Amino acid sequence: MILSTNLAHPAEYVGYERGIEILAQAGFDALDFQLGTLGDPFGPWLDPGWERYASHLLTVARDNGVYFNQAHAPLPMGKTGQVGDDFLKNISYERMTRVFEVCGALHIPHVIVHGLAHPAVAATPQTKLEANIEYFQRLKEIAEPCGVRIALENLMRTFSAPWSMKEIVDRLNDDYFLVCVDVGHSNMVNDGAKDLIRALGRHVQALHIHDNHVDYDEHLMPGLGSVDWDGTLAALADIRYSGDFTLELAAHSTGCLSDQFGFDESFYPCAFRYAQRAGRYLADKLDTMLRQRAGE
Amino acid sequence: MELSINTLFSAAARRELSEAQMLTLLADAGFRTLELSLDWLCTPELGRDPSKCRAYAQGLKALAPERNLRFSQAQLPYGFDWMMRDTDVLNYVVYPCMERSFEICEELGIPVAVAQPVTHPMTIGLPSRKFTWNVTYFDKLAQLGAPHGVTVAVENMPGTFDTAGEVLSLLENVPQLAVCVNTGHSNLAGEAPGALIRGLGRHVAALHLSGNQGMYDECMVPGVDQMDWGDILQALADAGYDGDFTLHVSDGYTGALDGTHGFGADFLPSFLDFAHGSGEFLLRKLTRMRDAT
Repeated sequence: MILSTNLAHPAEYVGYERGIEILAQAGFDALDFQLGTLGDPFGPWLDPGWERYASHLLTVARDNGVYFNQAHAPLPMGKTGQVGDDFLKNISYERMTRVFEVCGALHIPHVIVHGLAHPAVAATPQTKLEANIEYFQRLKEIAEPCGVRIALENLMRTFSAPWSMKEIVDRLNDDYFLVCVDVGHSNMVNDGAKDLIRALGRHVQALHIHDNHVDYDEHLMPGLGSVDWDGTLAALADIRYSGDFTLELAAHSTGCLSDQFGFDESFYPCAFRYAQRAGRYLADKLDTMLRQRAGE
Repeated sequence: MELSINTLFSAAARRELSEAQMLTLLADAGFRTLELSLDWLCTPELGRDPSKCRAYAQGLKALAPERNLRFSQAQLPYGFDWMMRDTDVLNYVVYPCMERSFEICEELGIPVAVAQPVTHPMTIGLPSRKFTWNVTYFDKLAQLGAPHGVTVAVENMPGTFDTAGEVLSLLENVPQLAVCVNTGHSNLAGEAPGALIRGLGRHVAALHLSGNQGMYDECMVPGVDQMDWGDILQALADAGYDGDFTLHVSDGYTGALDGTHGFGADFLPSFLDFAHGSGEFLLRKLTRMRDAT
């Protein structure tokens, strides 16, 4: 099983190139190219020369023996205060177009997109559902020509319950869309991801693997919180999960807040090696379960 | 100054691995110095079984040198049932267990033993009673440890002896005591770790270096927490600290690696490798700071 992790934090502190090198040397097979959590979500991607930069990063990744297996789009309701209809029509779609173009250029097959949750478009559960159906269908029109699929993710208050995610997936009724199960989010609201995984079945084709203690979305390395990993892996084995095993870790969880906490770049390899081992441990365990299911 | 680590790991690891296997894993991770965790002694039965404790110590004494390991400090038992009904817990359980612990320390040549203060439910909300109890308690521990060549170090706990002023008041009453600063506890309540170390200065004789995010006593490996290790190291350098650099980390506050959440004892080598890398990083940095000072 392919083991991946998010590139955003090391990239933010040491640059994309060095970040790719560190994660590859730690033993990851692939990288989740997050566009959504960087201080400047678009970085070089609005510059005229973005395609050359994308090509350069592809070369860096290839030279380090890794590739980009998925991406994370910027959050639709960012920190700019731009919300509501104008944001959606004039800013979000325009910039999401570039997101999908970047993903296409980086040969990324699918991008995780958060659903809309702002009261401006989600005053009631029904309007929220309808707004999101319209939103994702519109995004498909932009993304599909780039060769990129869209993954819906369970959040804390949006598509968090299994029935809620199943409802929108059923309404979309389109295998173009896939589901990324965020195990940490499920630990906070659903007593774990087991029911969500089983309810969505074959639609689950991507993962955000991280841990927490239920109260906060800590994005800790797996094993440092209270997630029931055996139960989660068993559910993934039950649905014959065949996607990648992608970690989504917070900056502090991998030592990437060096300037604040007394660590520096020389510590990153040690922290990411541990993250890789924790991820590989679980991914191998899932592989074993899948083989057992196949033999049953 | 040597990098050290506690031996208190998950219940699953202790169930699945023998002492010899545990020591081998610690040595393979690169550790040479250990803090012996003795909390497993917290029962009336073990407190009254000197022969079993002696055999345990002699076993460790034989195993450690074979792996180029030594024990430099101990953590005294702390998980007592303080509310045992109709029982003088101190004399029936606690002090006998402490005597056994000091015997083990003497057998292994351990000079410093870390003790948590008494946080008996009967002292909640009564700071003067808690202080008096602890003066009596630590005075007794110091007396029990001395014949075995063991100095007792009081450890700061969240809400109990969590400021330098409180700890120094205790030391005025029990001058034989030393101090162990637990950085994680200090990050949860009382003074920040750097401030506590600066306030205690030369009295700091031992360390429990553990991290957390300010909410739970997670005993995280430094570097994946949210604590200011730069300030902690600078405070240690300023205080001229020259004891061991002892990590006090757990492989999961809520059960990771205990077998209930998916990780088993077979993941312990990865955990220990990470802990060693983190400790080495911090120790190198502290050495540079001390040289600069």
